Amino acid sequence: MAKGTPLGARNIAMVALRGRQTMAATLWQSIRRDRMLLLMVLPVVIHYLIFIYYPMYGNIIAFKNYSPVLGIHGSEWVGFRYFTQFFNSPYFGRVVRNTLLISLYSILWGFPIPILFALMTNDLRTKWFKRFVQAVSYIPYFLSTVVICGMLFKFLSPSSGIVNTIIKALGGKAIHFLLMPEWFRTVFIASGIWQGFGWQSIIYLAALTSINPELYEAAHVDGAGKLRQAFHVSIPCIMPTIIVTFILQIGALMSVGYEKVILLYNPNTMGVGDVISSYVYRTGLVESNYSFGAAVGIFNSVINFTLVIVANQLSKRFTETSLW
Amino acid sequence: MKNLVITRMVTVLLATALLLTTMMGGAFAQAQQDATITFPLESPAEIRIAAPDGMVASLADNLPLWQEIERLTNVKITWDVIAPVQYVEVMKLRIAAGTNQLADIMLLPNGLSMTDLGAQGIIVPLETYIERNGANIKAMYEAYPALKPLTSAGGHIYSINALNESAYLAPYCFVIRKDWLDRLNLSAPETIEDWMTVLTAFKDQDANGNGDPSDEIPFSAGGHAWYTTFWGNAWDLHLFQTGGYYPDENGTMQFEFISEKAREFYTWLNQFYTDGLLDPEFMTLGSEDKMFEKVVLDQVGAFMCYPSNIPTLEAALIANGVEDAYILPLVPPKGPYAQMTEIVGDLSVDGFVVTSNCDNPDLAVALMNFLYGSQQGEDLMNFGVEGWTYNKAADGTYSFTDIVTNDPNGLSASEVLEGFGCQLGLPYVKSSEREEVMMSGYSERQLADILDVTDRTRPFAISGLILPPQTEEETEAISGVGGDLMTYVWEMTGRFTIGSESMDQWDAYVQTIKDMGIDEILKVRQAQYDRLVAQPAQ
Repeated sequence: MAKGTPLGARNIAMVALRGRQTMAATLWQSIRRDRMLLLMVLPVVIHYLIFIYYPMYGNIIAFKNYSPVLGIHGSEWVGFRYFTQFFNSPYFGRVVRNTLLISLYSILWGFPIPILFALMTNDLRTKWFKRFVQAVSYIPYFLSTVVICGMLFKFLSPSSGIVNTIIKALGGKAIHFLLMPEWFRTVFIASGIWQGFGWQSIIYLAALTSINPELYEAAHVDGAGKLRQAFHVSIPCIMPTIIVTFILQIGALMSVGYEKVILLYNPNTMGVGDVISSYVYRTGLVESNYSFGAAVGIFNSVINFTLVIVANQLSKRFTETSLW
Repeated sequence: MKNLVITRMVTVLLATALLLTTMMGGAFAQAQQDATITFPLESPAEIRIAAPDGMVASLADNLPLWQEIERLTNVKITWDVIAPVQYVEVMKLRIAAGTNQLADIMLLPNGLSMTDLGAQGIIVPLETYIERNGANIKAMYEAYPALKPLTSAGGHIYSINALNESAYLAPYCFVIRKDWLDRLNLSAPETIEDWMTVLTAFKDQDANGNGDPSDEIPFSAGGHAWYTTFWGNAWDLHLFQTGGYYPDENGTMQFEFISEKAREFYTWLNQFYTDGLLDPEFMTLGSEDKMFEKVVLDQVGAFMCYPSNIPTLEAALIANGVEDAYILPLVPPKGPYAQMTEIVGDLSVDGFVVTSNCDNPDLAVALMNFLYGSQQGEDLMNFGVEGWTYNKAADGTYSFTDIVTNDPNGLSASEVLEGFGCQLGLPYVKSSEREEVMMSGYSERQLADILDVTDRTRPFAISGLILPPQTEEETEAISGVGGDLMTYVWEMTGRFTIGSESMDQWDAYVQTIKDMGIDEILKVRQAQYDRLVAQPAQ
């Protein structure tokens, strides 16, 4: 035994070495074969390394009392102090609840609309009209948030806004939409849908064009009308796309951007409008408490990450479609 | 052999030592030479300044005034300017991102602590430099006793802040449409009750005379619950300029936002709102400019502004067809507890600091000293370039040239001067002479009104209280305490005002603020206040 061991080990090592050699050779072969593809993917990889992975290092300031002079490396470790500070904050429950509600309602109302829109435009016969409709629907996506909010302020003004002018002309009473907490989510989400549905429908339109036209012809022969075709051909065919988009949206459940919120909210609507990111903006950026902001950011990401994994697993189990 | 090596080593050592001594001596002499600086410098120097940019023209474009200053001092200035609205946020991020890129001199962004930055070595203590090159600055410490504590932290002076000689001239005030009053045969209101009567009349009657009695907004305010706290002055509350931390008659600091008087004030303000006297859009307008837009559309009966806004607003109203437009500035109303008005005061909170990147702090201080307090500097910063933007008569009276008073593009005098680079870039003393000369462009009636309101407001005017900076221990003691306290205050007071939160909830509101740790904050404010009060006696 004592003598046999080195020999046996050497044999195993030899086998492993040979195996490694062949593996290395195959790897090299596949690199050579796919060099153009690899070259194409390289910019994206570099982008991720520089702009996504490298900055992640900065996340450690969440566990440090960050001071600009001492730098990320030199600042003092404080453990979970900023996490506890966030959990103990009087606003914790409120901002988490508001974030979740805005996200959930956004998905509830906002998710189906681009799909419906894609199905409808896909069936438009006149080419130029179809392009025109699509172009018009994309335009709001390219407007900046500030402009969108400015438009909301103008349109919804109780004294001079067009919406209230119509309400008053119809004999109703002017509604101060932006002051009323009960209107905040509606205004926020509806304007978001208006801004984004055209753009979001692109991915579904792309999926629709890849459907084999023979399927529609077969359905037509079987006597299916437009609606039945949509239900039995179009939707099942783009289902994988729908599911993947849905999983990705679930992964952003805890992220509602602060820009639009801080432009739209006021003391009276804060109770429903204040979200995690706007809270971080105030305490982290405005009061320059960067460590605290980083801690909340990490908390958010951990939850989002967990949600994506759970949603993906569920989808894998029940629909056989998944991100990975 | 060995000896030779040693001898050589000794020789080299000696030579090095000699060389070092000469170099250090040279450097020392150089430093001494630089210590007191007279302008223009013999050899040109460079300095980089970070400051909020002008609204009319960019400092980066080598504005005429600054060319003149560069000529007079032989200092080449490189500007690192940021749009004023973004300045604080951008600079905070830059400071957080690392300090090796910072300019030599920068305006300290509001909210950053001098104590912290000083302790971290980002900004440089200035007292030795001021001793050498800051005669004008030192003179200002005499003239404005609160200046030194405001600009010091932890026993060092760190910043040089702009001053305002004209603080009492034409302060921010309530204004009312005199032509509306005349149309309804009313006289200008003097007490809170008068105001209610007059504004109710504006609401119920056709005050603007367009045939529609319901399109008048009796009182408007621009954009934030904060604006309405100006009324709080009549309840002896210091919420508007001072932010609520104010000593009572015994010198004990109070948070007035939770005082009994504040409860009464917000009860009244809620009544004011529910009676329809306050513009329902006051919280959603976004900014004061949006409110001015309503004013020039002849919709607003009364509001708040600087009297210097009146000529522009009246001109815009007249252009919109309101020929008899007349906006009258008023003295503060007499309320249940006080007749007073908080004014901005003569000290500005934010000052210019010298960063550790600056190679020659003596020059930085000397340059600021030159523009600050010396007659020449004051003239430059307030009036521009002599013979170009202004003339000075033999008896010392100033007059602006046609370029300033008669701009072909319709810019106001102060806008033209800003376009030259006046009152931008570095600390200056805002001269009251300039404000007076500027008024020469007003109509006789406007001028009379403004001077009259200035005189009559004087007895009721008090400066907003500006506390000296917190020490490091104080900052540490309240870090995280009451985080976002003011957000809660504005949220609740806003809701009390419009009635979405009943005044019955006042006690709960006070309790929440106590739970958030107001007592700890008050302890720190007390210590700061004690330092402020102790200072002038020295």
